[in-house]
Amino acid sequence: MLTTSPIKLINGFVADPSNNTGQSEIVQVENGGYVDETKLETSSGHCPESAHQYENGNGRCFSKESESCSSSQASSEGGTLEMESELTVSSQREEEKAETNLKESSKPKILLVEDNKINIMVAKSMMKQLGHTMDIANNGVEAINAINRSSYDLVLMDVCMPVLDGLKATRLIRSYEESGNWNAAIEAGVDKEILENEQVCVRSTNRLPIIAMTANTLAESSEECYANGMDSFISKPVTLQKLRECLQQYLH
Amino acid sequence: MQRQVALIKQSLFDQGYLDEQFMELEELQDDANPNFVEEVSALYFKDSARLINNIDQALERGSFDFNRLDSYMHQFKGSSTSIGASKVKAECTKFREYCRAGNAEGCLRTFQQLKKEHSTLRKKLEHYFQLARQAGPKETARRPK
Repeated sequence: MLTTSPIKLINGFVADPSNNTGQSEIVQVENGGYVDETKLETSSGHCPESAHQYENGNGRCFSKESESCSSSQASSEGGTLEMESELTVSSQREEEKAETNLKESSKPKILLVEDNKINIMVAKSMMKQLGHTMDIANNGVEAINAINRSSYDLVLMDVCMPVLDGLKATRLIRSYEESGNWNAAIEAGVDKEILENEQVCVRSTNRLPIIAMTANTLAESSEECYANGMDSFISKPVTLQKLRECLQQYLH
Repeated sequence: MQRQVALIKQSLFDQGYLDEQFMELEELQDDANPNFVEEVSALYFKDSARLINNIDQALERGSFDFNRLDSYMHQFKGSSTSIGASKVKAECTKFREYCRAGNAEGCLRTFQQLKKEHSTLRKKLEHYFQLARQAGPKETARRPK
């Protein structure tokens, strides 16, 4: 795996990746208005639901078997409780201790792209219980900047966000993967200097798994998600079971 | 005391104030995070109070920017869904339908109802958390039947 480049601190969250204290390490990715908003197509509605012309997206859907992530039918809602032994706190701690002995780069890097504070808090806690830490981005631009800076193993992408929504951000990320450059993103208004100055040294050649977190309305339908380059989706509300299945499928 | 707490919680579910998502949150409570649900709840009410304020101001101005209102309500619905605030969520959905229909009257009416549900839930949860704290940590992790 690739080494990560340092991420700036904001909000006082510790961003030292070698510090595995067993605490949930949440790194806040900074944004700060580095966007030419006149170029961005999002209007007052930052949702795809507002009149929005899409270019023909990369409709690559590698894994249609990813239906398992849309676990709203099969999930534990109303079902029986399962406390899997590998998720007990004591074994989590052992796992984390073992991980401090390994290279920091072997720990999966997960990016959560979400603007709703309550959703972030809940998702963080769920991921922690599953033994993972996450970086946080609050909109599509921050997500692109984060992905440019570090190699992630998995991205959980909220669909509806301000500044740049999840569908569009995913399209731009796929364009980057295909072309090796961020021209499309720059054209869409993402700040060129940040992208060029903070680029990760070695880019992964693997396709980045991007999982949509969708309210499952018409504009956030699974078809929309796939059409814009997402690999799978999780229907909100996010549950432990849905996240667990996602990790099992997409983190190796 | 613990029985009382359990009964109160049960009634919140039975009366439809909370749905199974609330149980998801309770599953996340452990020794390291003994007050997780209460903390999420506090964040929810703080954040939603801000949204209510924004919507109030927008409605008071008289100009119905349905896009903007819908946008606020999208946030509101999202948070409400995440904590399992079932009745509040239902009002959010109704409000958004009125937004899409451009029905100002409907929006106003629904918003009044939403505020009522929101306030009721807050009081009930405050009461529940207070009792739960007094009763001891074990009770809140148990699922109601």
